[in-house]
Amino acid sequence: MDISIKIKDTVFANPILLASGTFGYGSDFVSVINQVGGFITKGITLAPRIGNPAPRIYELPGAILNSVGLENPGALDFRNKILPRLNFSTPLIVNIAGFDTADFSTIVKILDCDRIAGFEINISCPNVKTGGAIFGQDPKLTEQIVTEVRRATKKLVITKLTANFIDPVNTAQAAESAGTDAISLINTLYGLAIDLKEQKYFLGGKTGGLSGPAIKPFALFCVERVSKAIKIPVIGGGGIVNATDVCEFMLAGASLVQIGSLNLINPFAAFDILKDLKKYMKIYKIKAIRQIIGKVRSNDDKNNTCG
Amino acid sequence: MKIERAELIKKLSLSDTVFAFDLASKTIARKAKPGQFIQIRIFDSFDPFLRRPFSFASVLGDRFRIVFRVRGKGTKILSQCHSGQYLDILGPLGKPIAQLQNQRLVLIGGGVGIAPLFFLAQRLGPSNHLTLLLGAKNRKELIMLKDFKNLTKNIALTTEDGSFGKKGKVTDLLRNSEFGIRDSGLKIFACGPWPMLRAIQKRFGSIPVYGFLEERMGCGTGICFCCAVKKKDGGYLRVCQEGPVVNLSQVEI
Ligand SMILES: Cc1cc2nc3c(=O)[nH]c(=O)nc-3n(C[C@H](O)[C@H](O)[C@H](O)COP(=O)(O)OP(=O)(O)OC[C@H]3O[C@@H](n4cnc5c(N)ncnc54)[C@H](O)[C@@H]3O)c2cc1C
Ligand SMILES: Cc1cc2nc3c(=O)[nH]c(=O)nc-3n(C[C@H](O)[C@H](O)[C@H](O)COP(=O)(O)O)c2cc1C
Repeated sequence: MDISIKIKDTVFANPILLASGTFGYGSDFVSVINQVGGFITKGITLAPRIGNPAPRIYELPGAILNSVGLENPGALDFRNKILPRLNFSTPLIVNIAGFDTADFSTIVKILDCDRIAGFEINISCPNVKTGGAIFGQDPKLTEQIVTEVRRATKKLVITKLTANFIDPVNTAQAAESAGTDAISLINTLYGLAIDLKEQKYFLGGKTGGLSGPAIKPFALFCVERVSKAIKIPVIGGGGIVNATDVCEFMLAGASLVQIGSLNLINPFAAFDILKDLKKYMKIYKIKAIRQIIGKVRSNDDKNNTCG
Repeated sequence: MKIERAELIKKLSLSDTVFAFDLASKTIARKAKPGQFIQIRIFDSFDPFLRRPFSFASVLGDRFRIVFRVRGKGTKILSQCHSGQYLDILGPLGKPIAQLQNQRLVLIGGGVGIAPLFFLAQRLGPSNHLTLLLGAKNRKELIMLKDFKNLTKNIALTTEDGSFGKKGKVTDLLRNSEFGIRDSGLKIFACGPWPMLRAIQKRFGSIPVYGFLEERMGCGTGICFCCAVKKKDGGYLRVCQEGPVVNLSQVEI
């Protein structure tokens, strides 16, 4: 049974990635990180950021709305204080965010080293006032940022797209032409919560990003749509809570998947997902997981079987 | 820290809205330290989505107790659990309160905030001098009183309706208490609502007041950075990682 996936020169032992912002910087739960295909850090910006005031999280059935606001120590402290202490062999991907188009390549130049397998360009964070998702809503800016990052590193470059107020096909194609190695989507969706008692915004950052199982159908829709429109691999995520979801995203066109909000309620969830994924492969006689990528059948196709 | 399925051995209703659960888990009970908490998954389904945090109220052998007030959806469902049921628990979480010796400690609890102080008193009582100031709405809400009385005689009580102890709030006891502002060597531990913590911090000035912080929590394990409380020297701390118990002089309250 082969559950590995290769993108560019990076071999992911399995298709499970831990999504940015939902598993810290990689210094906790190392036993889990060692088992997954790849680890993505919480978003790193050029300068340190203290993040948004509390409350930073609001809950609704099957979903959460967060406004952490990219709290992080900044690129230099990440490189000098955190990076040297990360001791796992799983591919390490650094999620980078910026407020100016030039921020991204500057961060990459600061961080580029052998310890890192690649970068995930976050042009889709809904929790900051400037930059963030604004870049991801503009194919031209997307292209510019990806071009600059591509020039700055030979490492794996993933571009994480937003599906807020834009057809991600446009930005995916822009990123592809600028040389990104893969596309990941979706980041959280815009959301707002109002505290009725106080008649004010509930979250300290006013607006938030919606994630969790409630957004899964839309995430699947986007993954399918984008993967049909580009040639490079798609990394899918949004609401994944079990191995069945993983298979669905892969059938829809994802080469790898990201587990996000689920880590908040069960930091060991990736273990169960991997175990179940192997079980499904056995039941459905799938020899290599890569064989199911994009193999969702059209409803009138009766011959095609999985695997 | 681990995820355990712990059996609900005993369920007690301490008042109309306050419940005590005795849960059995060797691994969690043996590791639990005062100041720490657990996160309970209410349902396997994703509604409520997040776990709910509760402090250890006492630990005895392989069992531990939590005491909680019904506030919203999660605690309401939890209160309908019955003994024999298994609960999905992540813990112990948070930074433990350091072991102390030969110190004069004042423990101040308000409402359901009384409960975590019991575990602290249980562990620190034998090797320190304890004074307890406990307050609640009414006599029934002065929970675990018998247990506290077994630990020490130095207890002052208040109820808001005057049905037991002194009438008023627990912070009223501070106004003309024996504890001087310059009383060095004293340590205060306080658990209760924010206004109570604020009043206590104001009253004691330079004497260290360690407060049990509460903030809307995501993971409880330090990886999501949601339970942020503003620090005085800039930035935020995570209640679940740098807390829940912190020196109140470090935070904006
Ligand atoms: C470290 C810690 C220890 C705690 N220990 C205890 C305890 O021992 N006994 C007890 O009765 N309560 C305790 N609380 C508060 C308790 O967790 C909340 O009352 C409970 O989560 C409310 O859930 P709900 O679904 O009933 O309310 P809802 O209002 O429906 O909850 C909605 C969301 O808000 C969160 N929330 C609501 N109120 C609070 C609050 N005051 N603090 C943090 N999150 C909140 C919930 O976790 C949930 O995510 C503790 C909180 C923290 C952070
Ligand atoms: C608390 C929290 C913090 C997040 N922080 C980041 C971040 O720093 N950078 C980023 O690209 N995505 C961030 N995300 C988005 C996730 O990586 C993921 O794309 C999104 O939550 C959708 O997946 P899910 O439904 O499985 O959670 C964050 C999500 C959450 C819940």
